[in-house]
Amino acid sequence: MRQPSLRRKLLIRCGFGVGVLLCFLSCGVYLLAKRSLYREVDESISQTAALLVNEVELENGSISFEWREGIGTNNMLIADSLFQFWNETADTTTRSPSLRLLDLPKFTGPGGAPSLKSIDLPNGHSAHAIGLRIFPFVLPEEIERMKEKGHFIDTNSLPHILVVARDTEPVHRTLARLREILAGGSLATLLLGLLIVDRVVRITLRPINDLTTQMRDRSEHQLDSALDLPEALPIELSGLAKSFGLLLGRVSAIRQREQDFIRHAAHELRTPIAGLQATTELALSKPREAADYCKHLESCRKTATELGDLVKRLSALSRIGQKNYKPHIISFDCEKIINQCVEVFQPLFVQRSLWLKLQLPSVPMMVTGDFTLLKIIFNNLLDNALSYTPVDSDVHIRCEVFDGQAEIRIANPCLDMPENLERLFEPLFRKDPAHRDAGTHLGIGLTLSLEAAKAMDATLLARRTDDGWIEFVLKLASANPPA
Amino acid sequence: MRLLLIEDHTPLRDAVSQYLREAGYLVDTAATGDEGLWAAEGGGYALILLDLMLPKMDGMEILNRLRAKQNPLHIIILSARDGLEDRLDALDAGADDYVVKPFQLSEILSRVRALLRRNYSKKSPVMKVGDIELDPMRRTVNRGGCMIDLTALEYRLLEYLFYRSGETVSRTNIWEHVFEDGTGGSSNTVDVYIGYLRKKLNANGQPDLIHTRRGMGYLLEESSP
Repeated sequence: MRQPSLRRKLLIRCGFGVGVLLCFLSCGVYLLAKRSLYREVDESISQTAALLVNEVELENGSISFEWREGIGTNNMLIADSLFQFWNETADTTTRSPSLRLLDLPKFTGPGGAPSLKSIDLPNGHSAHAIGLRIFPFVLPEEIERMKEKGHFIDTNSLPHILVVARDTEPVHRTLARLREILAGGSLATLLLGLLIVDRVVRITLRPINDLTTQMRDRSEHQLDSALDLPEALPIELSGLAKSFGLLLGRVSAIRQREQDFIRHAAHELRTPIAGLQATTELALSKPREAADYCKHLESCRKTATELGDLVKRLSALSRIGQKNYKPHIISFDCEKIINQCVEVFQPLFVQRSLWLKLQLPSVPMMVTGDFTLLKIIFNNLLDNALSYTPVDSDVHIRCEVFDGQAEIRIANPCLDMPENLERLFEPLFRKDPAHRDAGTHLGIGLTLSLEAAKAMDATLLARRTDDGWIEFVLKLASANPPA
Repeated sequence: MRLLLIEDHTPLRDAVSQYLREAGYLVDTAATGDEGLWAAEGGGYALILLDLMLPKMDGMEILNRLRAKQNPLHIIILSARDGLEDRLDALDAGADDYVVKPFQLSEILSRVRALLRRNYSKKSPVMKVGDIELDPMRRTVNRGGCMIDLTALEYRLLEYLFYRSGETVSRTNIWEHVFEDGTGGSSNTVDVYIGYLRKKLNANGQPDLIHTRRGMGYLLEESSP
């Protein structure tokens, strides 16, 4: 299937528009010319008829045709004129010389009134003709003379029918020529118009082509760098280009984040791998006692566990972060998970002289979410509190349900909070970049928790309390019936 | 030779330190940046192996502080940061070498030896004073083509004297660099081990190349001035 083209569409539409306009104009011109020409013919035969009406005279008791008497002076009138008189009383007819012995159609309007119509001439040509009833005119002296003789003839008793015609073949030829001129002119104008439109469209679309070239010619390393927008970018394109630039910026940021993440992950993996490699190399560097091997193997096991934990977290982060990840959303009692996690961490907290204070709501705290993801979040938040709370301090866990939401807050004093708490959720972020606490604090836990919260449409944020503590707030949909 | 290893990752620290100890070096370790700086400033080390990402004080901070005090210690950086910028930063800040993790322990050992040679201006991997030859790589000593069997401590003592051959080395220096417990040593112990060395090196009646400088220490040299 042929791809739609903006240029082709513009060209076709403009061409069609110009074509239709030209057609209308040509038709208009043609019809006006035609009407004008036929009107001229009709006026001409009407004038001829008006002149011929006065050419029929009652004289000496008979009808005479003046135009015959003055054929020389009336030459202009009768030269190529086609007309014919019919004496209705005597049933005779008189033809113009041009007709020779041929007859024109005999007609008049109702009651003998003038009537214009198209007729076919005896020679096969078409013509316009006027037909009317006329009465001969009589001079006053002739009337006196008839009265003296006592033989007065009323001219109304001598009706004649006059038909004047004009061959319209020349008009037809003129119109045919006009049609040709108009058709040729329109076609030429249309072609020229198309060429101009094409040129204009090409010039107009040049910024698009420039942008396309700019995008196409990008090298690998600058695929997501910002677009170089020309200053004279048309307003219709600047919005699109700016949006595209913003999109590229976002892509670039994501790519950078991914690169950073990979770099940091690789960096995090290097040290335990170095430990593993060094320990095995040391163990194999010379024959040793079994106890020494055991010691080295134990060290390797510890490092492998650390590595495994890191890889597990990275993999979980990658899995949860995927767009097609579908959490298993159900309604369950959140207290159950909290109690389970607290039970695991309680001895560790006591070991570090940290006092866990749990405040649960009086009613069961039913929430809608993913059981496993929620457990990941609680474990990471508690693990975080365990590691970063100064010795001999309290850690508060408060759970509340209001406005259809369940809110779980975990707060603890923290000596070394970053300025921007949002950064805590960045992958592999550490306030102290060197801080590494054997396997657990690899800077992934909070990122993983945030991704887990997002995956089940919950929110997780960190904030600084009035007491200077750090507080993590998890909000998720409550499944408790409305109060 | 006494080395200082500053590394927070326990398994790596243990493995590297043990490997270097087995190669005949005395290795002190520190797990945090501040401990490491404190130890390094205390002196007595021939070389420092320094990780960059350390708790409490960054490795770069330690490096900068040592160099700011004109501390001439040779420093090898052991880091997981493999970027060119990181390497350039560390070398420009005064590090003598930069090794990216993970690494082979044997490579670390070679780099340590190379830096120690450079430290004491010894170009050749096999050091020679008179007819005594010491090969740090194979940890062997021979005199006039005859292998001399030395204990680990005697070897360390002789190696240190070889590195510093041509200059008088104080008993305190020997104590710090050669003996396991390098602080507050006994000069008698040094004298005893120098005696053991002389006995083994001169077993065939060859001239003694370890000269005693009264009140100053010992000098390893082909001919006494």
